[in-house]
Amino acid sequence: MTQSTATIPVTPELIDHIANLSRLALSDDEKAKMLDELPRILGMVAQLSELDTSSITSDVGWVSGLPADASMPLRPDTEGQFGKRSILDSNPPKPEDGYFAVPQILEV
Amino acid sequence: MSAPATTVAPNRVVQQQASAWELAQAIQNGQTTSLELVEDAYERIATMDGTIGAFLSLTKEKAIETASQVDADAKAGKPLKLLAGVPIALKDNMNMTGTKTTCASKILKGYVSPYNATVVEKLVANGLPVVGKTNLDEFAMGSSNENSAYGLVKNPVDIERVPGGSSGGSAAAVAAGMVSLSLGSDTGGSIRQPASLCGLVGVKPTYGSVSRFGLVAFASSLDQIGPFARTVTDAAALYQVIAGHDERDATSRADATPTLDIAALAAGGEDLKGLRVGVLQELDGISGDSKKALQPETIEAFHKGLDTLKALGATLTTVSLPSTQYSVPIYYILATAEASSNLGRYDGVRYGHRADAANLHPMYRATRAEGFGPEVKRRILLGTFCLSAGYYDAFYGKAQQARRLMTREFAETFAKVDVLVCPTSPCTAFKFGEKSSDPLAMYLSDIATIPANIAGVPAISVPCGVDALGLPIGLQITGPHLSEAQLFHVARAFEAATASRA
Amino acid sequence: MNTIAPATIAPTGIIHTPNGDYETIIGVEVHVQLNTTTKLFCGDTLSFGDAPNDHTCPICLGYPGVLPVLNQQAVEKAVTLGLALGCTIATVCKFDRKHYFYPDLPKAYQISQFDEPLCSNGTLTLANGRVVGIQRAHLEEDAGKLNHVGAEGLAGSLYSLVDLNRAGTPLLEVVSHPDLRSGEECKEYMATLRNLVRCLNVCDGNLEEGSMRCDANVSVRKVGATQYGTRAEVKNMNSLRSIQRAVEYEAQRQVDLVESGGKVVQETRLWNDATGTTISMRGKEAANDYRYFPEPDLPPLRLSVTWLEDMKANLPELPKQRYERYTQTIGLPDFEANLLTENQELGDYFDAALALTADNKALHKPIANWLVGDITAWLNTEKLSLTDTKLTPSLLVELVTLLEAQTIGSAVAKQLLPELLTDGASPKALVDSRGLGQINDTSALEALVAQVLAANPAEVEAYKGGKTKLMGFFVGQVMKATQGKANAATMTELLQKKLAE
Repeated sequence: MTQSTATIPVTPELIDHIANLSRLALSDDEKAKMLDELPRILGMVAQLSELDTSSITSDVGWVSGLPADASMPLRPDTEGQFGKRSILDSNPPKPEDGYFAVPQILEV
Repeated sequence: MSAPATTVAPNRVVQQQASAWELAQAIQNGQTTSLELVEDAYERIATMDGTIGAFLSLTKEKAIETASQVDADAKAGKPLKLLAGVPIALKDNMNMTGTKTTCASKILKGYVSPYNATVVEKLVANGLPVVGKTNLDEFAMGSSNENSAYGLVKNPVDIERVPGGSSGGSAAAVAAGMVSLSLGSDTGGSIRQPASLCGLVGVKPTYGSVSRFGLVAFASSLDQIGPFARTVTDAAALYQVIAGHDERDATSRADATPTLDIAALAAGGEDLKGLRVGVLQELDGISGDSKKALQPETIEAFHKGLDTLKALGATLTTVSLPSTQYSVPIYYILATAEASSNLGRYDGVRYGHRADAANLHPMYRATRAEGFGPEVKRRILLGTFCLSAGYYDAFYGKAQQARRLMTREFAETFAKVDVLVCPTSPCTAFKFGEKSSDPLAMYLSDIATIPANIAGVPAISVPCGVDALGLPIGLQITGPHLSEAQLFHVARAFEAATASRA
Repeated sequence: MNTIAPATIAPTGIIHTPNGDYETIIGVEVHVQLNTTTKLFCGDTLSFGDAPNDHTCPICLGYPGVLPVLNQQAVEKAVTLGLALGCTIATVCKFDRKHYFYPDLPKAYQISQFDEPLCSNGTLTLANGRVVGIQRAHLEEDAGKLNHVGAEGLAGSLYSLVDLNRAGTPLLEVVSHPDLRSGEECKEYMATLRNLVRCLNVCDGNLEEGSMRCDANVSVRKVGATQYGTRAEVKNMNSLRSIQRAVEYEAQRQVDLVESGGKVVQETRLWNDATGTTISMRGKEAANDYRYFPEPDLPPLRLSVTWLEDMKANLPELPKQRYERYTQTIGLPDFEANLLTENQELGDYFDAALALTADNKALHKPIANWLVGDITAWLNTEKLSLTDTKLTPSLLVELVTLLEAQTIGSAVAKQLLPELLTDGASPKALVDSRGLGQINDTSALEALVAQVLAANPAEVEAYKGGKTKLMGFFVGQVMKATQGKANAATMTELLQKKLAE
């Protein structure tokens, strides 16, 4: 199920959905601004559909600034540079009895 | 070493300073000490940074510690490493143990790095004292440093104008003469464009040649750390210090161990006979479209630069990379997608800002709403959209294919030419507020620089003139993967020739 | 194990209704925690119930600027299990990011494998002959743990505490095809898989501690139907028994629902062991758009064909192969072979004893006998494992050798066993020093038999009168008189002869 990039209706619902996926609360002002800016930005970005990429036949699974034949290095199964609890007290919130506390978890 | 501030133009805030290479020699020869240089740097910062705003924090204690060690070694007659003792500034998106690392964002308020980035370890191992962390566009997203949560950075050449971004602070610190070296990061041009706007040398190395471990990620497959300096020799020396394979970065290249001859570069006197230069047609200032995209004086300076290359013995050919016309869309899909993912961790649970909220998900929403600035939010939303169900194929998937295509076009081009040239920035330093109200206008600042990040190839920006207002213009030279030695060679010859014709 | 033809598989997941029979369809996802030393992407050691957040570092805490680097051993263990399941191992595969926000997921994404799993297309055969297809097995990092304060679980809690010790632990997620047909088969699947992972030393297989976690996708359909019904995912089954109970409950619940005109909803349900029911989590999971995309911090994993062939050649003996060796080569009965296969420690011990008796194969069956019989019984009573005892394989071999040579009788051997287990003394030395040697001499036994018969005239009468069960009494008396040293066979023969007179 893919959308044609040419005509994407940017609705308040779409913005709400994306903001929720990103866990970003937007003020009414911000939402209004997005409703104005996002269509133009998306329009610019959607121009990409004009570029003919049909000559790219290989499976584009992983693309990067590295050469296409790049290979993942593995590390030995030995204890690393950071010691036990090495950084836990370096930043707040200070763990209570060692735990990070988070407020009550309700549905999304 | 310090000289009175010279103000050629009333808006210019610059102090003369020797090059890093010269300073390093002076330390070697006992003519000065690293401590003296560090003290001098802090005096200059005190004099100028109130105006410029390049630094977010100063790291005096650590700088003095490093400097003292270098001086002790020098006194004991021990051999000094490359650039030992020369003060340097660090963009505030790189972790350095015990320092605040803000990424110019409120969401990292109070965050103190518990570990060192690999590049920082290399600096310390080589004896370069880090004097402070510099200002940037928030999370490296921007082209003018107007997106910082902690104030603007002024272009030392004209303080009513932007220094470029996102590494605005690192560029300004060097351009003003506060330090002779700094490190920035480049995801779509964030080193090269400020270098161009401030009249500096700026390098985006081959992707994978400098470790990203400890660099706060913006777009993982595009980010690279690189040097700012006033001379090509300095930039090359700093690249030599920071580049190399790192086991802690799985995208670090095993074959990236540079062996540059800095002394030879410093000596200069090379020409470019036999060099095949490709002039990027899409930005050559001759075709209709490129004329529209580029400032006239930029085109003029660029063409003068081409003449210089010819005079040095290079042969010029026009080459076309059609996919580069789509650089901005490709970039703003891939980079924002990766950014939306990389910035998910800023949720207030383990470090940084946490909003007051009774429940978890509202806490996430409020923390991120309060902590992130508008440009960051914009890019997170755009990136999330490009990855979301129903849109992935048309956006992220398509951008991946386009990236492959562009990479192939670069490879085909470099089979025909040795380097590619174009103007670094479509315009000179613009005034504050001129582009900040229109995100799209701002995004177009990167049309020339983005392709190198997409293809992972190295690129350097060198000064190639000024406009009528005296604002710097940069020439960008791009090469194939791991061709930094060639790039520095070309840039050095160009630098020498340009200086003599100035 | 695979001697039963498929036709005899008894599908006990059939549910009868007045409206016809339903069958249960189950596919199982098992998260296997690999027993490496360190986590999947960072050098923290794995935690075993240690203080919260003791085993964390900037990388698994998702600090700014960190990067993942893959653990070689995790790949080896994953490939080992994949090969043992008969999977095709990808020579090239990649990792992907799976995004969602939750406090046990520090980076707000999990590094997993979406469309290019490391292993695919394997099988696991159950004892009843069912061949369960393994769709795929992929590597991914585990999340941390949450303690909810102020309630039994999440519902009604006041706040939560996050422990990220477990975050980043290597997992191999093994996904089966929906080939299972009953709660019992699911239990068996888990037990077989657990046995396999222990045998291969890739996981300690401890369900209760969570080193193997099971989610079941359950659906029902009328017997004979070809379309699958809507499935529900059942989670939170922490033992083999609860897996069976949960699946059976859920299947029945779905049939009841359908029969009363309702529709099965695709949802996640939590098994509650105390109430014996599954409860809907609907509403707790808004449609999750995980926004998978390839992990940019990790280039593709490339495994060489020669390395894979090496791994295959060096696979440890699989349970199935061990069972076959015991039944076919050694000739052990099914029950004993099963026990020695399922209990890896016993099996390893047995193999050690076999090695010591390579040129005396007659001892093999008796050794097995002792292991699965008296020794296991003793271990169960004392609640010890074989490695806790001092009975080395060579000592057991010594004991059995004495038995087979008729130097001692089984009664004496049983007497000595506890001492051998706790003290590790040499049986031969004990027999010699205490004069426990079996009395084999016929004339000596004859005399003893005569003595016992003379001492018990009433029983002799009763025996001759038809109470042949009293033979046991006479045997016992002779044994008592000889402190168990009488050669049982000879003695019994003599008793019979004398009593027949």
